[in-house]
Amino acid sequence: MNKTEQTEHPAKPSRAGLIADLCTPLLLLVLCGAITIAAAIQPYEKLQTYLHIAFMDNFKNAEPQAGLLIKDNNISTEHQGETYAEGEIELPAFGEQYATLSCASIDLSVPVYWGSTSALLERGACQATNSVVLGNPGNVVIDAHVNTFFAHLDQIAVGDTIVLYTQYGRFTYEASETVTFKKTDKQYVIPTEDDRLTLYTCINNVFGSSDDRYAVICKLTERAFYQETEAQNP
Amino acid sequence: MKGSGSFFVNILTTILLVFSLLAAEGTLFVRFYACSADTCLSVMEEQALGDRIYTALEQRFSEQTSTSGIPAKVYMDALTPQQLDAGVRASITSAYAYLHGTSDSYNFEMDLSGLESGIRQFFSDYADEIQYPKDEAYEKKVNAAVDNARQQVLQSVDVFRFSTLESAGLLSKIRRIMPFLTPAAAVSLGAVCILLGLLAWINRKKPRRILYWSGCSLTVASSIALIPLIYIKATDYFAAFTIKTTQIYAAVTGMLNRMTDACLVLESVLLGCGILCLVLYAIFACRASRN
Repeated sequence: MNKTEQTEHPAKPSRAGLIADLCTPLLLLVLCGAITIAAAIQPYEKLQTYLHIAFMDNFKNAEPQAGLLIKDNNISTEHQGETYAEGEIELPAFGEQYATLSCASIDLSVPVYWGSTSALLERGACQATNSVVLGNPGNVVIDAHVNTFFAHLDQIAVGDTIVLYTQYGRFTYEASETVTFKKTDKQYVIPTEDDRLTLYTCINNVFGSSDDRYAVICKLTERAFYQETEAQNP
Repeated sequence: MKGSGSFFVNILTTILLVFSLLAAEGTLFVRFYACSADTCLSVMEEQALGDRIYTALEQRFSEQTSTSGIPAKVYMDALTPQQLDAGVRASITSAYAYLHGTSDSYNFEMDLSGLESGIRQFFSDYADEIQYPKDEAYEKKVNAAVDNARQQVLQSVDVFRFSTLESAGLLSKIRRIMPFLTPAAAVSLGAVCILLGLLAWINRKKPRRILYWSGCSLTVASSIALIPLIYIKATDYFAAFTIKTTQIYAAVTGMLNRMTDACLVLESVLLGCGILCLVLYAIFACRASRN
Protein backbone atom coordinates (compact mmCIF):
# COMPACT_ATOMS: atom_id res chain seq x y z
CA MET A 1 0.00 0.00 0.00
CA ASN A 2 1.52 3.37 -1.03
CA LYS A 3 1.40 6.52 1.01
CA THR A 4 -1.67 7.98 -0.76
CA GLU A 5 -3.60 4.77 -0.19
CA GLN A 6 -2.51 4.78 3.44
CA THR A 7 -3.78 8.31 3.88
CA GLU A 8 -7.13 7.58 2.17
CA HIS A 9 -7.60 4.23 3.81
CA PRO A 10 -6.06 4.31 7.29
CA ALA A 11 -5.42 0.90 8.83
CA LYS A 12 -8.04 -0.39 11.31
CA PRO A 13 -7.01 0.24 14.90
CA SER A 14 -5.16 -2.77 16.30
CA ARG A 15 -6.16 -4.50 19.53
CA ALA A 16 -2.95 -3.24 21.12
CA GLY A 17 -3.80 0.30 20.08
CA LEU A 18 -7.25 0.03 21.63
CA ILE A 19 -5.83 -1.25 24.91
CA ALA A 20 -3.26 1.55 24.87
CA ASP A 21 -6.01 4.10 24.27
CA LEU A 22 -8.04 2.75 27.19
CA CYS A 23 -5.11 2.43 29.61
CA THR A 24 -3.37 5.70 28.80
CA PRO A 25 -5.75 7.92 30.82
CA LEU A 26 -5.34 5.59 33.84
CA LEU A 27 -1.58 5.59 33.41
CA LEU A 28 -1.58 9.38 33.20
CA LEU A 29 -3.77 9.60 36.31
CA VAL A 30 -1.38 7.39 38.27
CA LEU A 31 1.69 9.27 37.01
CA CYS A 32 0.29 12.74 37.61
CA GLY A 33 -1.19 11.65 40.93
CA ALA A 34 2.21 10.36 42.06
CA ILE A 35 3.91 13.60 40.99
CA THR A 36 1.26 15.65 42.85
CA ILE A 37 1.61 13.59 46.04
CA ALA A 38 5.40 13.79 45.89
CA ALA A 39 5.26 17.57 45.45
CA ALA A 40 2.67 17.96 48.22
CA ILE A 41 4.50 15.99 50.93
CA GLN A 42 6.69 18.82 52.18
CA PRO A 43 4.03 21.56 52.17
CA TYR A 44 1.60 19.14 53.86
CA GLU A 45 4.11 18.35 56.61
CA LYS A 46 4.48 22.08 57.29
CA LEU A 47 0.73 22.64 57.29
CA GLN A 48 -0.21 19.46 59.15
CA THR A 49 0.15 20.95 62.62
CA TYR A 50 -2.00 23.96 61.76
CA LEU A 51 -4.63 21.79 60.06
CA HIS A 52 -4.69 19.53 63.09
CA ILE A 53 -5.23 22.45 65.43
CA ALA A 54 -7.83 24.07 63.22
CA PHE A 55 -9.86 20.91 62.63
CA MET A 56 -9.37 18.73 65.70
CA ASP A 57 -12.82 18.59 67.22
CA ASN A 58 -13.23 14.98 68.40
CA PHE A 59 -16.98 15.36 68.55
CA LYS A 60 -17.32 15.98 64.83
CA ASN A 61 -18.86 12.60 64.18
CA ALA A 62 -21.74 13.51 66.44
CA GLU A 63 -24.34 16.17 65.63
CA PRO A 64 -22.24 19.25 64.73
CA GLN A 65 -22.44 21.73 67.55
CA ALA A 66 -21.38 25.31 67.63
CA GLY A 67 -20.67 26.61 71.10
CA LEU A 68 -19.06 25.16 74.23
CA LEU A 69 -19.85 21.51 74.96
CA ILE A 70 -20.68 21.30 78.66
CA LYS A 71 -20.71 17.85 80.23
CA ASP A 72 -22.11 17.15 83.67
CA ASN A 73 -20.98 14.01 85.49
CA ASN A 74 -22.43 12.14 88.42
CA ILE A 75 -19.63 12.37 90.98
CA SER A 76 -20.08 10.33 94.13
CA THR A 77 -19.19 11.91 97.48
CA GLU A 78 -19.66 8.64 99.38
CA HIS A 79 -16.96 6.28 98.19
CA GLN A 80 -16.84 3.33 100.61
CA GLY A 81 -14.03 1.18 99.25
CA GLU A 82 -10.30 1.17 99.84
CA THR A 83 -8.28 4.24 98.95
CA TYR A 84 -4.64 4.73 98.03
CA ALA A 85 -2.12 7.54 98.37
CA GLU A 86 -1.16 7.25 94.69
CA GLY A 87 -3.40 6.48 91.76
CA GLU A 88 -4.47 7.11 88.19
CA ILE A 89 -5.72 10.56 87.26
CA GLU A 90 -8.44 10.96 84.64
CA LEU A 91 -7.77 14.11 82.64
CA PRO A 92 -10.96 16.13 82.04
CA ALA A 93 -12.10 17.75 78.80
CA PHE A 94 -12.74 21.48 78.57
CA GLY A 95 -16.27 22.19 79.76
CA GLU A 96 -16.55 18.89 81.68
CA GLN A 97 -17.59 18.71 85.32
CA TYR A 98 -14.75 16.78 86.90
CA ALA A 99 -15.15 17.47 90.61
CA THR A 100 -17.52 18.44 93.40
CA LEU A 101 -16.24 20.94 95.96
CA SER A 102 -17.58 20.65 99.47
CA CYS A 103 -17.04 22.78 102.57
CA ALA A 104 -19.15 21.83 105.58
CA SER A 105 -18.36 25.01 107.57
CA ILE A 106 -20.24 27.20 105.06
CA ASP A 107 -22.59 24.45 103.82
CA LEU A 108 -21.07 24.62 100.36
CA SER A 109 -21.39 21.92 97.71
CA VAL A 110 -20.71 23.06 94.16
CA PRO A 111 -19.76 21.33 90.87
CA VAL A 112 -16.31 22.19 89.53
CA TYR A 113 -15.82 22.47 85.75
CA TRP A 114 -12.57 22.19 83.89
CA GLY A 115 -12.03 25.54 82.14
CA SER A 116 -13.17 29.01 83.06
CA THR A 117 -15.71 30.75 80.81
CA SER A 118 -18.78 32.89 81.43
CA ALA A 119 -21.03 29.96 80.53
CA LEU A 120 -19.29 27.60 82.95
CA LEU A 121 -19.22 30.17 85.76
CA GLU A 122 -23.00 30.29 85.55
CA ARG A 123 -23.13 26.55 86.30
CA GLY A 124 -20.61 26.21 89.08
CA ALA A 125 -17.02 26.79 90.10
CA CYS A 126 -14.34 26.68 87.43
CA GLN A 127 -10.79 25.47 87.48
CA ALA A 128 -8.21 27.33 85.44
CA THR A 129 -6.74 25.00 82.82
CA ASN A 130 -3.27 26.37 83.48
CA SER A 131 -3.44 24.99 87.05
CA VAL A 132 -2.83 21.34 87.93
CA VAL A 133 -5.48 18.65 87.80
CA LEU A 134 -6.48 17.35 91.23
CA GLY A 135 -4.05 14.65 92.29
CA ASN A 136 -1.05 16.19 90.56
CA PRO A 137 1.48 18.16 92.64
CA GLY A 138 1.14 21.95 92.62
CA ASN A 139 -1.49 24.66 92.80
CA VAL A 140 -5.14 23.80 92.07
CA VAL A 141 -6.86 27.13 91.26
CA ILE A 142 -10.66 27.32 91.39
CA ASP A 143 -12.86 30.41 91.08
CA ALA A 144 -16.58 31.21 91.08
CA HIS A 145 -18.89 34.23 91.14
CA VAL A 146 -19.20 36.11 94.42
CA ASN A 147 -22.95 36.60 93.96
CA THR A 148 -23.63 32.89 93.40
CA PHE A 149 -21.52 29.91 94.42
CA PHE A 150 -18.75 31.65 96.37
CA ALA A 151 -21.04 34.12 98.13
CA HIS A 152 -19.84 32.86 101.54
CA LEU A 153 -16.22 32.20 100.66
CA ASP A 154 -15.17 34.97 103.05
CA GLN A 155 -16.71 32.96 105.91
CA ILE A 156 -14.23 30.10 105.56
CA ALA A 157 -11.89 30.31 108.53
CA VAL A 158 -8.32 29.08 108.86
CA GLY A 159 -8.48 25.40 109.82
CA ASP A 160 -11.73 24.67 107.97
CA THR A 161 -11.77 21.54 105.83
CA ILE A 162 -12.49 21.62 102.09
CA VAL A 163 -12.96 18.37 100.18
CA LEU A 164 -12.87 17.86 96.44
CA TYR A 165 -14.46 14.68 95.07
CA THR A 166 -13.65 13.37 91.61
CA GLN A 167 -14.42 10.14 89.81
CA TYR A 168 -10.93 8.90 90.56
CA GLY A 169 -10.34 10.12 94.12
CA ARG A 170 -11.02 12.37 97.06
CA PHE A 171 -8.70 15.27 97.95
CA THR A 172 -8.88 16.95 101.34
CA TYR A 173 -7.48 20.40 102.09
CA GLU A 174 -7.27 22.62 105.15
CA ALA A 175 -7.63 26.40 104.88
CA SER A 176 -4.32 27.96 105.86
CA GLU A 177 -4.68 31.66 104.99
CA THR A 178 -6.93 34.23 103.37
CA VAL A 179 -5.67 37.02 101.11
CA THR A 180 -6.97 39.90 99.03
CA PHE A 181 -5.23 40.98 95.84
CA LYS A 182 -5.74 42.95 92.65
CA LYS A 183 -6.98 41.06 89.59
CA THR A 184 -3.72 41.91 87.81
CA ASP A 185 -1.66 40.31 90.60
CA LYS A 186 -1.02 36.74 89.52
CA GLN A 187 1.12 35.56 92.45
CA TYR A 188 -1.66 33.45 93.99
CA VAL A 189 -2.81 31.79 90.79
CA ILE A 190 0.53 30.71 89.33
CA PRO A 191 2.01 27.22 89.65
CA THR A 192 3.61 26.39 93.00
CA GLU A 193 5.93 23.68 94.24
CA ASP A 194 3.85 22.88 97.30
CA ASP A 195 0.48 21.12 96.99
CA ARG A 196 -2.24 23.66 97.58
CA LEU A 197 -5.76 24.67 96.67
CA THR A 198 -6.52 28.32 95.88
CA LEU A 199 -10.20 29.33 95.94
CA TYR A 200 -10.90 32.88 94.86
CA THR A 201 -13.68 35.23 93.86
CA CYS A 202 -14.33 38.94 93.27
CA ILE A 203 -14.81 41.31 96.15
CA ASN A 204 -18.28 42.74 95.71
CA ASN A 205 -18.42 46.19 94.14
CA VAL A 206 -21.32 48.59 93.80
CA PHE A 207 -20.77 49.32 90.14
CA GLY A 208 -19.73 46.84 87.51
CA SER A 209 -16.88 44.41 87.82
CA SER A 210 -14.42 44.49 90.67
CA ASP A 211 -10.67 44.88 90.41
CA ASP A 212 -10.14 43.16 93.78
CA ARG A 213 -10.07 39.46 94.55
CA TYR A 214 -10.49 37.48 97.74
CA ALA A 215 -8.77 34.10 98.06
CA VAL A 216 -8.65 31.22 100.52
CA ILE A 217 -5.40 29.28 100.29
CA CYS A 218 -5.52 25.70 101.52
CA LYS A 219 -2.87 23.07 102.05
CA LEU A 220 -3.32 19.45 101.00
CA THR A 221 -3.91 17.09 103.94
CA GLU A 222 -5.06 13.88 102.25
CA ARG A 223 -4.92 12.34 98.82
CA ALA A 224 -7.23 9.31 98.46
CA PHE A 225 -7.31 7.62 95.06
CA TYR A 226 -9.96 4.99 94.41
CA GLN A 227 -7.66 2.91 92.22
CA GLU A 228 -3.97 2.16 92.45
CA THR A 229 -1.63 2.90 89.60
CA GLU A 230 -0.58 -0.13 87.54
CA ALA A 231 2.98 0.11 88.88
CA GLN A 232 1.72 -0.44 92.44
CA ASN A 233 -0.70 -3.15 91.44
CA PRO A 234 0.93 -5.22 88.68
CA MET B 1 9.52 3.46 16.57
CA LYS B 2 8.22 6.72 15.11
CA GLY B 3 4.79 5.83 16.49
CA SER B 4 6.07 5.10 19.98
CA GLY B 5 8.24 8.23 19.84
CA SER B 6 5.27 10.49 19.19
CA PHE B 7 3.31 8.56 21.84
CA PHE B 8 5.85 9.46 24.54
CA VAL B 9 6.02 13.07 23.34
CA ASN B 10 2.23 13.20 23.60
CA ILE B 11 2.37 11.69 27.11
CA LEU B 12 4.93 14.25 28.22
CA THR B 13 2.97 17.14 26.71
CA THR B 14 -0.22 15.87 28.30
CA ILE B 15 1.42 15.64 31.74
CA LEU B 16 2.58 19.24 31.40
CA LEU B 17 -0.90 20.21 30.21
CA VAL B 18 -2.46 18.52 33.27
CA PHE B 19 -0.40 20.62 35.68
CA SER B 20 -0.90 23.78 33.62
CA LEU B 21 -4.65 23.20 33.75
CA LEU B 22 -4.51 22.67 37.52
CA ALA B 23 -2.46 25.87 37.92
CA ALA B 24 -4.83 27.84 35.70
CA GLU B 25 -7.94 26.53 37.50
CA GLY B 26 -6.39 27.22 40.89
CA THR B 27 -5.23 30.78 40.18
CA LEU B 28 -8.43 31.76 38.41
CA PHE B 29 -10.57 30.28 41.21
CA VAL B 30 -8.60 32.01 43.95
CA ARG B 31 -8.41 35.34 42.13
CA PHE B 32 -12.01 35.65 40.98
CA TYR B 33 -13.97 33.59 43.49
CA ALA B 34 -12.17 33.02 46.78
CA CYS B 35 -10.70 36.53 46.90
CA SER B 36 -13.97 38.18 45.98
CA ALA B 37 -15.80 40.11 48.69
CA ASP B 38 -19.10 39.11 47.05
CA THR B 39 -18.47 35.45 47.90
CA CYS B 40 -17.87 36.32 51.52
CA LEU B 41 -20.90 38.61 51.67
CA SER B 42 -23.19 35.99 50.19
CA VAL B 43 -22.00 33.49 52.82
CA MET B 44 -22.79 36.14 55.44
CA GLU B 45 -26.36 36.39 54.19
CA GLU B 46 -26.77 32.65 53.77
CA GLN B 47 -25.64 31.99 57.36
CA ALA B 48 -27.79 34.82 58.79
CA LEU B 49 -24.78 36.01 60.76
CA GLY B 50 -26.55 39.10 62.10
CA ASP B 51 -29.09 36.95 63.96
CA ARG B 52 -26.42 34.58 65.25
CA ILE B 53 -24.28 37.43 66.54
CA TYR B 54 -27.31 39.01 68.21
CA THR B 55 -28.11 35.76 70.03
CA ALA B 56 -24.46 35.23 71.00
CA LEU B 57 -24.13 38.77 72.35
CA GLU B 58 -27.36 38.42 74.29
CA GLN B 59 -26.05 35.23 75.89
CA ARG B 60 -22.67 36.77 76.64
CA PHE B 61 -24.08 39.92 78.21
CA SER B 62 -26.50 37.77 80.25
CA GLU B 63 -23.61 35.67 81.55
CA GLN B 64 -21.68 38.80 82.43
CA THR B 65 -24.51 40.24 84.50
CA SER B 66 -23.06 38.53 87.57
CA THR B 67 -19.75 40.34 87.18
CA SER B 68 -20.77 43.58 85.49
CA GLY B 69 -24.03 44.21 87.30
CA ILE B 70 -25.51 45.47 84.02
CA PRO B 71 -28.61 43.61 82.75
CA ALA B 72 -28.30 42.26 79.20
CA LYS B 73 -31.38 44.29 78.23
CA VAL B 74 -29.39 47.53 78.50
CA TYR B 75 -27.11 46.34 75.71
CA MET B 76 -29.59 44.43 73.58
CA ASP B 77 -32.16 47.24 73.41
CA ALA B 78 -29.54 49.34 71.63
CA LEU B 79 -28.59 46.66 69.07
CA THR B 80 -30.45 44.99 66.18
CA PRO B 81 -29.55 42.02 63.94
CA GLN B 82 -29.63 44.39 60.95
CA GLN B 83 -27.10 46.68 62.62
CA LEU B 84 -24.84 43.71 63.34
CA ASP B 85 -25.25 42.53 59.71
CA ALA B 86 -24.06 45.96 58.61
CA GLY B 87 -21.10 45.59 60.96
CA VAL B 88 -20.13 42.23 59.46
CA ARG B 89 -20.50 43.71 55.99
CA ALA B 90 -18.25 46.65 56.94
CA SER B 91 -15.64 44.27 58.38
CA ILE B 92 -15.59 42.10 55.23
CA THR B 93 -15.61 45.05 52.81
CA SER B 94 -12.79 46.76 54.67
CA ALA B 95 -10.67 43.59 54.77
CA TYR B 96 -11.07 42.88 51.06
CA ALA B 97 -10.41 46.52 50.17
CA TYR B 98 -7.14 46.25 52.11
CA LEU B 99 -6.26 42.92 50.46
CA HIS B 100 -6.90 44.28 46.98
CA GLY B 101 -4.86 47.41 47.69
CA THR B 102 -7.73 49.90 47.45
CA SER B 103 -7.33 50.76 51.12
CA ASP B 104 -4.16 51.32 53.16
CA SER B 105 -5.34 49.60 56.31
CA TYR B 106 -7.96 47.28 57.73
CA ASN B 107 -10.23 49.58 59.67
CA PHE B 108 -14.00 49.67 59.98
CA GLU B 109 -16.44 51.59 62.09
CA MET B 110 -19.87 50.87 63.51
CA ASP B 111 -22.30 53.40 64.86
CA LEU B 112 -22.67 52.32 68.49
CA SER B 113 -23.86 55.66 69.86
CA GLY B 114 -27.16 54.07 70.89
CA LEU B 115 -25.31 51.42 72.89
CA GLU B 116 -23.14 54.03 74.61
CA SER B 117 -26.05 56.25 75.56
CA GLY B 118 -28.00 53.24 76.86
CA ILE B 119 -25.17 52.21 79.18
CA ARG B 120 -24.60 55.78 80.40
CA GLN B 121 -28.33 56.17 81.08
CA PHE B 122 -28.44 52.92 83.07
CA PHE B 123 -25.47 53.94 85.19
CA SER B 124 -26.93 57.41 85.73
CA ASP B 125 -30.35 56.08 86.78
CA TYR B 126 -28.81 53.53 89.13
CA ALA B 127 -26.48 56.12 90.67
CA ASP B 128 -29.45 58.43 91.24
CA GLU B 129 -31.44 55.57 92.77
CA ILE B 130 -28.77 54.68 95.33
CA GLN B 131 -27.49 58.27 95.60
CA TYR B 132 -24.03 57.27 94.42
CA PRO B 133 -21.79 60.29 93.78
CA LYS B 134 -21.00 60.84 90.10
CA ASP B 135 -17.36 61.45 90.76
CA GLU B 136 -14.20 60.56 88.87
CA ALA B 137 -14.37 56.91 89.92
CA TYR B 138 -17.95 56.73 88.65
CA GLU B 139 -16.93 58.23 85.27
CA LYS B 140 -14.07 55.75 85.08
CA LYS B 141 -16.46 52.84 85.67
CA VAL B 142 -18.94 54.10 83.06
CA ASN B 143 -16.23 54.63 80.44
CA ALA B 144 -14.80 51.15 81.15
CA ALA B 145 -18.27 49.60 80.73
CA VAL B 146 -18.83 51.49 77.45
CA ASP B 147 -15.39 50.52 76.10
CA ASN B 148 -15.93 46.90 77.10
CA ALA B 149 -19.31 46.79 75.34
CA ARG B 150 -17.91 48.43 72.19
CA GLN B 151 -15.01 45.97 72.09
CA GLN B 152 -17.31 43.00 72.49
CA VAL B 153 -19.65 44.12 69.72
CA LEU B 154 -16.80 44.98 67.32
CA GLN B 155 -15.12 41.66 68.07
CA SER B 156 -18.35 39.79 67.48
CA VAL B 157 -18.93 41.26 64.01
CA ASP B 158 -15.35 40.46 62.98
CA VAL B 159 -16.44 36.89 62.29
CA PHE B 160 -13.48 36.02 60.07
CA ARG B 161 -11.09 37.42 62.68
CA PHE B 162 -9.46 39.79 60.20
CA SER B 163 -8.11 41.85 63.12
CA THR B 164 -6.29 38.78 64.47
CA LEU B 165 -4.94 37.98 61.01
CA GLU B 166 -3.78 41.57 60.68
CA SER B 167 -1.98 41.63 64.01
CA ALA B 168 -0.31 38.32 63.11
CA GLY B 169 0.93 39.91 59.89
CA LEU B 170 -0.97 37.44 57.71
CA LEU B 171 -3.25 39.99 56.06
CA SER B 172 -0.28 42.03 54.85
CA LYS B 173 1.41 38.86 53.54
CA ILE B 174 -1.71 37.95 51.56
CA ARG B 175 -1.90 41.57 50.34
CA ARG B 176 1.62 41.27 48.92
CA ILE B 177 0.71 38.08 47.05
CA MET B 178 -2.59 39.39 45.61
CA PRO B 179 -1.13 41.45 42.71
CA PHE B 180 0.62 38.33 41.40
CA LEU B 181 -2.53 36.26 41.10
CA THR B 182 -3.74 37.76 37.82
CA PRO B 183 -0.35 37.46 36.08
CA ALA B 184 -0.04 33.91 37.44
CA ALA B 185 -3.45 33.05 35.99
CA ALA B 186 -2.45 34.62 32.67
CA VAL B 187 0.81 32.66 32.58
CA SER B 188 -0.98 29.39 33.39
CA LEU B 189 -3.60 30.03 30.70
CA GLY B 190 -0.82 30.92 28.29
CA ALA B 191 0.92 27.64 29.11
CA VAL B 192 -2.32 25.75 28.52
CA CYS B 193 -2.74 27.40 25.10
CA ILE B 194 0.87 26.72 24.15
CA LEU B 195 0.66 23.08 25.18
CA LEU B 196 -2.64 22.62 23.34
CA GLY B 197 -0.97 24.14 20.29
CA LEU B 198 1.95 21.77 20.73
CA LEU B 199 -0.43 18.81 20.93
CA ALA B 200 -2.13 20.03 17.77
CA TRP B 201 1.22 20.27 15.98
CA ILE B 202 2.40 16.85 17.17
CA ASN B 203 -0.87 15.23 16.05
CA ARG B 204 -1.27 17.31 12.87
CA LYS B 205 -1.42 14.14 10.74
CA LYS B 206 -4.13 12.61 12.95
CA PRO B 207 -6.22 15.60 14.03
CA ARG B 208 -8.75 13.57 16.01
CA ARG B 209 -5.93 12.50 18.37
CA ILE B 210 -5.95 16.10 19.64
CA LEU B 211 -9.40 15.35 21.06
CA TYR B 212 -8.02 12.24 22.71
CA TRP B 213 -5.04 13.90 24.39
CA SER B 214 -7.06 16.99 25.38
CA GLY B 215 -9.71 14.70 26.85
CA CYS B 216 -7.05 12.77 28.77
CA SER B 217 -5.53 15.93 30.22
CA LEU B 218 -8.93 17.37 31.23
CA THR B 219 -10.03 14.07 32.77
CA VAL B 220 -6.79 13.55 34.70
CA ALA B 221 -6.55 17.17 35.90
CA SER B 222 -10.13 17.23 37.16
CA SER B 223 -9.79 13.76 38.77
CA ILE B 224 -6.68 14.85 40.71
CA ALA B 225 -8.63 17.84 42.04
CA LEU B 226 -11.84 15.89 42.65
CA ILE B 227 -10.33 13.18 44.84
CA PRO B 228 -9.45 15.42 47.82
CA LEU B 229 -12.64 17.47 47.33
CA ILE B 230 -14.79 14.34 47.51
CA TYR B 231 -12.87 13.23 50.61
CA ILE B 232 -13.52 16.59 52.28
CA LYS B 233 -17.23 16.44 51.45
CA ALA B 234 -17.65 12.76 52.39
CA THR B 235 -15.94 13.15 55.78
CA ASP B 236 -17.50 16.58 56.48
CA TYR B 237 -13.97 17.66 57.29
CA PHE B 238 -14.80 21.27 58.06
CA ALA B 239 -17.36 20.34 60.72
CA ALA B 240 -14.37 19.61 62.99
CA PHE B 241 -13.44 23.30 63.01
CA THR B 242 -12.10 23.95 66.47
CA ILE B 243 -13.54 27.38 67.16
CA LYS B 244 -17.09 26.77 68.30
CA THR B 245 -18.19 30.38 68.78
CA THR B 246 -21.49 30.28 66.90
CA GLN B 247 -20.99 33.09 64.40
CA ILE B 248 -17.32 32.33 63.72
CA TYR B 249 -18.06 28.64 63.22
CA ALA B 250 -20.97 29.44 60.87
CA ALA B 251 -18.98 32.02 58.89
CA VAL B 252 -15.76 30.03 58.47
CA THR B 253 -17.33 26.62 57.80
CA GLY B 254 -19.90 28.29 55.53
CA MET B 255 -17.14 29.93 53.51
CA LEU B 256 -15.04 26.75 53.32
CA ASN B 257 -18.03 24.62 52.31
CA ARG B 258 -19.09 27.21 49.72
CA MET B 259 -15.61 27.14 48.14
CA THR B 260 -15.51 23.34 48.24
CA ASP B 261 -18.88 23.15 46.51
CA ALA B 262 -17.78 25.66 43.87
CA CYS B 263 -14.60 23.66 43.23
CA LEU B 264 -16.62 20.46 42.99
CA VAL B 265 -18.90 22.00 40.38
CA LEU B 266 -15.97 23.40 38.40
CA GLU B 267 -14.04 20.12 38.42
CA SER B 268 -17.15 18.09 37.61
CA VAL B 269 -17.80 20.28 34.57
CA LEU B 270 -14.19 19.89 33.45
CA LEU B 271 -14.37 16.14 34.01
CA GLY B 272 -17.52 16.08 31.92
CA CYS B 273 -15.76 18.02 29.16
CA GLY B 274 -12.83 15.61 29.29
CA ILE B 275 -15.07 12.57 29.06
CA LEU B 276 -16.97 14.23 26.22
CA CYS B 277 -13.72 14.75 24.30
CA LEU B 278 -12.81 11.10 24.79
CA VAL B 279 -16.25 9.93 23.72
CA LEU B 280 -16.15 12.16 20.63
CA TYR B 281 -12.72 10.78 19.79
CA ALA B 282 -14.06 7.23 20.14
CA ILE B 283 -17.01 8.04 17.85
CA PHE B 284 -14.79 9.64 15.20
CA ALA B 285 -12.29 6.79 15.41
CA CYS B 286 -15.05 4.19 14.96
CA ARG B 287 -16.47 6.07 11.98
CA ALA B 288 -13.04 6.39 10.41
CA SER B 289 -12.32 2.69 10.84
CA ARG B 290 -15.66 1.77 9.21
CA ASN B 291 -15.12 4.05 6.15
